[in-house]
Amino acid sequence: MWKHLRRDYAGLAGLLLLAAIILAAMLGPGVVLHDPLQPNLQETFLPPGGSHALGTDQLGRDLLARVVAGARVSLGGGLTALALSLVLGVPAGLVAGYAGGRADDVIMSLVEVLMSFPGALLAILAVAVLGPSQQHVVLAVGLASAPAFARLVRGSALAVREQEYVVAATALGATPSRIAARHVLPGCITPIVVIAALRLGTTIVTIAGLGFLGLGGDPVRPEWGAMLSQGQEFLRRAPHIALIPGGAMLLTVLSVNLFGDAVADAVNPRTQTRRAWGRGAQRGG
Amino acid sequence: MLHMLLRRVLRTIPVLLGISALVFFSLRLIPGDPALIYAGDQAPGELVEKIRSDLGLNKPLVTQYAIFLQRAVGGDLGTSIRTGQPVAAELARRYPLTLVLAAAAILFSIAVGLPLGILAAVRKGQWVDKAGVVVALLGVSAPTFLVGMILQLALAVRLGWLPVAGSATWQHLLLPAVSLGVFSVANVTRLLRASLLEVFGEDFVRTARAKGVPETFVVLRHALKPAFIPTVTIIGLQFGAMLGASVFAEAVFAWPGVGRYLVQAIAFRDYPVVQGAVLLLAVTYVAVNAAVDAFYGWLDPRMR
Repeated sequence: MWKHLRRDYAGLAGLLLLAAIILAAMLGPGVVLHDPLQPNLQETFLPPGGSHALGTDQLGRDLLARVVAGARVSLGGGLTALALSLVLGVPAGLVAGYAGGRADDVIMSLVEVLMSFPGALLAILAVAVLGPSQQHVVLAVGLASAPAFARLVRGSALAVREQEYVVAATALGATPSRIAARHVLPGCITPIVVIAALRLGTTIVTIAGLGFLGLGGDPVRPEWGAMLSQGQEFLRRAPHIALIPGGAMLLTVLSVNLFGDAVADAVNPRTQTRRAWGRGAQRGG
Repeated sequence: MLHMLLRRVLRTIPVLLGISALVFFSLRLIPGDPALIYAGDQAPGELVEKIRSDLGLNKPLVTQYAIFLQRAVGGDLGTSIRTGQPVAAELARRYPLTLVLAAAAILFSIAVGLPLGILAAVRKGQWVDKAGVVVALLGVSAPTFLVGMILQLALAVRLGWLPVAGSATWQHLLLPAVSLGVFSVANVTRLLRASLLEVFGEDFVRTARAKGVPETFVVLRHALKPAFIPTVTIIGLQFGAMLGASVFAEAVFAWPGVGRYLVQAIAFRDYPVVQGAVLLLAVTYVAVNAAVDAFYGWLDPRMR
């Protein structure tokens, strides 16, 4: 995989950019001089440059500090939601595909219903039920992406189930749960990795989108979507308040998508002609 | 054909039941007494009891769901907690606006995506094709609300060519429709390019070229139709997905559609509205997808 990745310049660029963003998210808060939460009413609407490298917002908070803190919220939230959807979706798909029968019917009907909500609507419904807060937004997005993984894993499990090594394990008397975990699951790992890599961008966008809609609770928290929606009020006076978190978001999603694409190609070179926009990319927000 | 259509319609029924059950029961999970929410905190006990029996809240949950379903089918989605107005009437007023927005976005994505896709396939590997890759990548990576805000800043706030927000004239439709359509432009372009390239390798295209048919004619007359079939499917599915994404375009441009109504209702904890709006968007999505399936079968005889 690495051998292929090394020759994929777009993927490498994405990886480098992503690494830089992760580094900024991890080290940033320690390096940046200002407090992302500290308002300063003497220094509101400052343009980029001077003592505030990216300027300040309507309350005089340092935008560099806020955007760096927001990277942590955004990437952390996206990865958490993705992990949650894997934890929920993979076992469900494995059971449906390997056990079959009644369990399959029940799980797949539920999956079909959940996937009948367009785009972010299921996540929006979940936040309406749970109540607006950043944790609930991440939880909602994780829940909403789980059915896609369940369906994917079910398909792979169905295919793997017929393989000879699984039949052999059954003949040797291995328990169904052992076969599912030790023999069927490893056979499904490749498509899971590919789709997970391609979906990370979608989860990040959806989380930011719900923040933009004001469903993230605490408006003081430096979250890119909420920052963007607050900045919208001041587009005429100080467009940088919206453009800076917007740009950070675009760069992050771009790098994640480039990298995800490269992973997909490296793992499965046959799909190279069709890139993310033709296959895994789902509409986030 | 009719048989297939009927089967497709019948198949949506369990899904629609599932959607309605999910929406109904999930909103009942919210802690708090719905009767008390309707009546307000200060209401006397008898009033709360009266509302409880009026709304049928003292009946078993499954019975409540059956009543809800029966009323929803008859076009009654209850009343808004905030305004006291019927939810269905308000949705009926806003639904056309969301549909118009999604339709305009689709038109935009076809108008731009179709020529771009053809150009990228014909000029494969040349700069047009390479530029197309970059544009498509940007298109799928930029969220609707970000595209919308950038367009709003550039074309409305800065240049003043188009209105900033609202829905008074047809000019108000342009920016939200374009921001909603950008994602699909990328999809349509890439998919049409890929399927055109596939068709270019087919025997009948080679025959046409060998006969000396002009290249423009080969592309537009012979190759485009078969290549268009998968693209039509994608466009149909994109239309469905736009119903979800319209929430964001409506939020940026204060477009008074179903999505905006939904988001405002969440802020006010106006659950009958949330229930009605989510239901309407999801049902439309299922209907659109079923229609796309049927249309696909009609377009491609092999699917019959």
